[in-house]
Amino acid sequence: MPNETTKPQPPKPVTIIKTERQISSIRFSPDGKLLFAAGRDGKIHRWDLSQPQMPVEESADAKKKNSKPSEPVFPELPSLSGHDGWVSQIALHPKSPLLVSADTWGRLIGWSTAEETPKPLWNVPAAHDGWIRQIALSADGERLATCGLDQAIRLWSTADGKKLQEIVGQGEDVFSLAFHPDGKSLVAGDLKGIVKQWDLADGKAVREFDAKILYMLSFIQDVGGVRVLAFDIAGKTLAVAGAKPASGGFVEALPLVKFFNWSDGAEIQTLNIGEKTEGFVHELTFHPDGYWIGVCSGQPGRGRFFFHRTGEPQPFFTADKQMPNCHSVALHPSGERFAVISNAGTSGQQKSKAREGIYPGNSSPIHLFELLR
Amino acid sequence: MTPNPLCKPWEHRLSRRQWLGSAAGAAAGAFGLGDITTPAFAADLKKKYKQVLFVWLDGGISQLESWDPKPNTEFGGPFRTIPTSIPGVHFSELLPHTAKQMQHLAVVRSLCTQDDAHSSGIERIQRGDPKNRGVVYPYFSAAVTKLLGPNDSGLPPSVWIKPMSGGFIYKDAGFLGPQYGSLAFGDGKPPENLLRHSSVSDQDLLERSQLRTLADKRYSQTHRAGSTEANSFVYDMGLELMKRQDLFDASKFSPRDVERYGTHDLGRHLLLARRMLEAGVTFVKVNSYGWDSHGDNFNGSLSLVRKFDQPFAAIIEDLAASGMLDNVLVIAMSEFGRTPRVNGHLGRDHWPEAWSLVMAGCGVKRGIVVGSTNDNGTYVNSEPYDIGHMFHTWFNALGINSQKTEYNNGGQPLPIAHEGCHPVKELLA
Amino acid sequence: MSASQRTTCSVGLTISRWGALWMALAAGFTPIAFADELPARIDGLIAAALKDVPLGATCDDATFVRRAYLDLAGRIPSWQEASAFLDNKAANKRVQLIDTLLAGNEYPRRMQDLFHAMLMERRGDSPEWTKFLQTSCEANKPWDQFVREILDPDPNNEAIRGAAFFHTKRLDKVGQQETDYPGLTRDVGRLFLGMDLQCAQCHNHLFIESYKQVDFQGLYTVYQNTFIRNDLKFPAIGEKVLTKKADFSSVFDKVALTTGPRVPGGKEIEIPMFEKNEEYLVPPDKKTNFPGTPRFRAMQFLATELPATGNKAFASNIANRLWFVMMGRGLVNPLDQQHAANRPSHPELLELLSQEIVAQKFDMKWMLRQLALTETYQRATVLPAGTEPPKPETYRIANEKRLSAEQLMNSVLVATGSRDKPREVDLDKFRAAFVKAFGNVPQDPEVEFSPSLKSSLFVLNDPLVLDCLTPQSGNLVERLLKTTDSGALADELYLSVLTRKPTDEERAAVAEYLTKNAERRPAAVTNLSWALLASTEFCLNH
Repeated sequence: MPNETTKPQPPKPVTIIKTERQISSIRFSPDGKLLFAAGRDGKIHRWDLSQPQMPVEESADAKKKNSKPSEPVFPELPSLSGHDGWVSQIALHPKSPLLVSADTWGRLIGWSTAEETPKPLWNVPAAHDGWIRQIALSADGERLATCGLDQAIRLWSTADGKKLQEIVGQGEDVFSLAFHPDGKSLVAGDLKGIVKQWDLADGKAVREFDAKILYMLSFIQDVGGVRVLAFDIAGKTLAVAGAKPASGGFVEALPLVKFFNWSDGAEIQTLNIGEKTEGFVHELTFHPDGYWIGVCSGQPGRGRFFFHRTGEPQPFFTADKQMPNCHSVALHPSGERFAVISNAGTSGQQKSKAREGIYPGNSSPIHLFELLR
Repeated sequence: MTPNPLCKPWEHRLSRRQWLGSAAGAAAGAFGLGDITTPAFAADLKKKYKQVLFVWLDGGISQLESWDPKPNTEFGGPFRTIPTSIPGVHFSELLPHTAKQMQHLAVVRSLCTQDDAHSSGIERIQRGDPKNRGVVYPYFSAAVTKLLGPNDSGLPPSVWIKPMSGGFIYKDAGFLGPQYGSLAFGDGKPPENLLRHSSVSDQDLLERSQLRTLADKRYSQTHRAGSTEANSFVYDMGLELMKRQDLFDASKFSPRDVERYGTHDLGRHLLLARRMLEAGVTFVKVNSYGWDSHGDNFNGSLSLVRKFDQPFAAIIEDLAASGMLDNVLVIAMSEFGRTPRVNGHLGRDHWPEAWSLVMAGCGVKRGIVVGSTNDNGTYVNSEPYDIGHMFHTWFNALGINSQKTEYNNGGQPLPIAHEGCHPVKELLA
Repeated sequence: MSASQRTTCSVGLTISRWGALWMALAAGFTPIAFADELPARIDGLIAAALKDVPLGATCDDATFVRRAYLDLAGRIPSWQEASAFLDNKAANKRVQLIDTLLAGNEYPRRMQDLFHAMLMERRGDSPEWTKFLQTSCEANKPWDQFVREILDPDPNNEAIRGAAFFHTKRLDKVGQQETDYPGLTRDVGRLFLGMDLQCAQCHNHLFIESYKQVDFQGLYTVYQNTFIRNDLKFPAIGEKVLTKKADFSSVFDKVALTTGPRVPGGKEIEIPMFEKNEEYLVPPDKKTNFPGTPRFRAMQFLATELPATGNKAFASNIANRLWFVMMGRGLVNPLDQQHAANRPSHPELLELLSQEIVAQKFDMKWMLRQLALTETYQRATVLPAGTEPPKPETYRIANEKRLSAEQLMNSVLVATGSRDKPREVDLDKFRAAFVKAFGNVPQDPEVEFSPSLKSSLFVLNDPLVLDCLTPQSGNLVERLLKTTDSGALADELYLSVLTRKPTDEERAAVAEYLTKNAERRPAAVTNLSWALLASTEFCLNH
């Protein structure tokens, strides 16, 4: 049962998994043994969490200098190829050994994770015309919903990748979507800050939630969008997140979440996180103990993750040190661990040594934390 | 000691400000050509008026999300590429309309410039980054209106269509002096006091003008001619511009054009630019702001590049269809490109080292790509071109021999483009 | 202080004051029998330079009264003032007029506008600066003192502390540009010494041998050490402790040189060194943000050395600038190019004027009077028939002068009879609109006639201008509409706007136009008035 009264202690860092390239999204497998990452190198990366290796003991001298206990290392498994551009999203079937992945060129792949090296079960090269923004699995895992830049919302059978349904009428670049836990509705959020509830029985829009605060037109740039839609486990609360933009270009923005009461559509709370010069809330996940874990990314070096209980004035925990530009958060099925990706590397435009072959890109270290309940 | 930025304007000149002379000269049809030392080209220019459309994407368009895509490479970003009307040439998928106009375009993918700061970069690029001689060089707009001389449109030679405020922008003219500045139409709106006052009828306006002309004629019979000529020049230009209020009347555009160009600022402003070019303005600059995508570059580019694509393709198509493209040089560019490296805010930073621009029209070869970058776009792997090369190329495209023509700044001869650079022959028709 | 708050500004005058001035003129007192000695010497030097070439004719009374009012009261005369002068039979009425205008209460405001435009070059304004100018002009402050107060502004003297605006406005940070110390340095040279040392910043001047890099650097050493004080609410400038000379080298030969504070052409001063904690006369105070007063202040040094009677460049600069104000062209032209390679058109004359102004302790009113009394000043601008137009620098005929935005504003109000409107004219609004329309761009000296698209559209369409031509309460157009005889109408129109009687031809043209448009007479009369306001003749001081 969710424990709604106790608050967890600050999360304890477990380890940082280094990556070579930047990552869009991370997910744990339902058994909690694997960690998957959608790579901005077009690959799906995997780590085996079941066999941590402790690093070789350091010398006594080194130990004195660095009093931190050594951290476990999780071996990386071979990555999965088959996508183009960026792998934008991944999702794992709650019951079956199935991984679904989407990319920015419009391809959707269902992978069988039963084998040691997953193989595509099905492959839809043009599931969307271009960037697939979000994917979501129904609670029973039978249906997959996707949305994208092409303004389309589509439902697919997870068994064979066949298209089941097309939802027409959102009318904008669709950034986010989520199934209601009851499986009867889908919510989708777009660039202009409109969240629509779609009835899956007839494919019609039922109602709208106003999140226009998440959008602005700066000169000719459309800035913002509903970046995140998420339900609590019971389906009573809908969280709509992104940022209140202050400018285009740099994209300075105030990370922001709006919470709505699902039953009557009333707004419960608008939560500002951080300052107006930061950036977007990129992901929210609901912990069975009754709170949200969210991540924000902002100007290089800005960003944070936070724990928040709906309705309370402020997040009850915020970490913004050493964790810049958090783009994704995944909760371990045990509820006792979670992972956050941040950014490492350089920004800026210092004189390049590209000609000499030196031009490092950025990477997305994956921070693993333990939750002490 | 601070380096000297301003051995200014008319410094070395004995007569500080030649507006009187210039205005008078312009009325007589020889707008300050005395200050340029090339005898031959003035006559040639008269044959056909040349014009320039200069589209400035302020802050820096990402070359990787536009003219020089590197799909499926480390820094290539999320987008696909699309073929253009010229086989083998690909653009980012964010330029679907412009891709269909590639047969008119010349893309330069090998720019390598010096400055990665906006504050200095914009100036250095628009002034052609000449060798420092302690003078402030004119922006390209001022240079072109100076070097091409006046035409008979009766309209200001240089207009600047931009969001936000307008006015008379003189600083761009550098040592050429304030009269080579631009008349800026803030938010595409006409200059102050352009509208005829309701208390004055058309007949009144006409008679006022006739009566003033008569008074000036009488005065000039016994006085130096320059003053009345200058006075008449600005009244005639004012009245001409008033007559051309249709230029600013959005309702006069066909609904089809409005749809083709788009209803956003850049669409409206490029449509207005077409009208200004049709009306005979020599240099039309159109600014779009907000391209400095240090954060959320890819969503930013989706919006920005696509909103550039639609009206830019439309104006190229229209200028080509009407034949005007033969005499209008079109340039679209920024002060630099953007880093291949994607930062933690999914932005791209400033990048002068390997970037692109596009040009078309007057004197420019069509349907070509010049220069290239390496596989992941981190450096130019053909001959790198600085902005000085572009200035040489543009001047030559307009029929001005950039290596022989000089400004005469009060006795100080000054090259019109960096003498360490040269025209890019491949680009010239 | 804004113009509308002032009671003495030219167009804010009450009718009775204007009346008093007119009465004074008509009464013809304060006769001055003969031209002073200096005017005659000036005319002699001008004539001598022309050798056998005949001088132009003296201007008629109508031209003279207009010219004198514009130069000394900052506006054209009203038709009554003009009539009174034209009807005055006194032989010395021109002298009378000059003296009356110089004694009048519009003269200080004219000087204030003149020096504001000259010294600030349309960079902007501040009430404190206005107060300094007003105080100075009302007192006919000697130029050396005027400049001294600018070069070393006294923050403790409320009446003149605003002089610091000269510096602070130039040191304002604009956008991302660096603080323009070189620009301030340059302007001190340009405006007070007639020397534009700009190109001498980085090298000895390429074309001007007498401008040395050290001339620029000696001043720059002083100004690069200054800052805008942020502990005071009014414009004020502070100085850091100066501890070392400026290093500089020519961009050409890169030889390292140094200089301490130095007036161009003068002697470098050794920078005194003080023990630690002794360098301040008044030490800084962190609590109040007071930056401290250094024991050695280079600005004080400059303020003593630069406007000194022994500084020839200082004297000839102001002599040349005042000559320019009255004669429309500097003896040295451009005004800030005093150097060996740009000789004055009349070297002896400039020398004479420089000596005289020093002898008169930099009394500018005295100098303007001397100039106004010359035949050279009172010559017509009409071109001699049958020959090439004379060169402006010969002064064979008088040169046409640009009207400043302020002169135009005041003159439009006078010409159209709008100053007599019972309701208060919003002068601040008027002034701002005219300066915007007719002022040059910031930092561009207003020397030549510079009409622009901006100014023509303003006159064509701006409601402020057009409102002056709407018939109302005794203004020009209303008076004209009441005048049935077209000849009388033409007379009043021309006298009111152009300060002269119309020619027969013009009178006939007015009659013909009015007859043709009898059915729309109000519009026709307004059009006639507008056309004269927009004419070149009105826009120039000819």
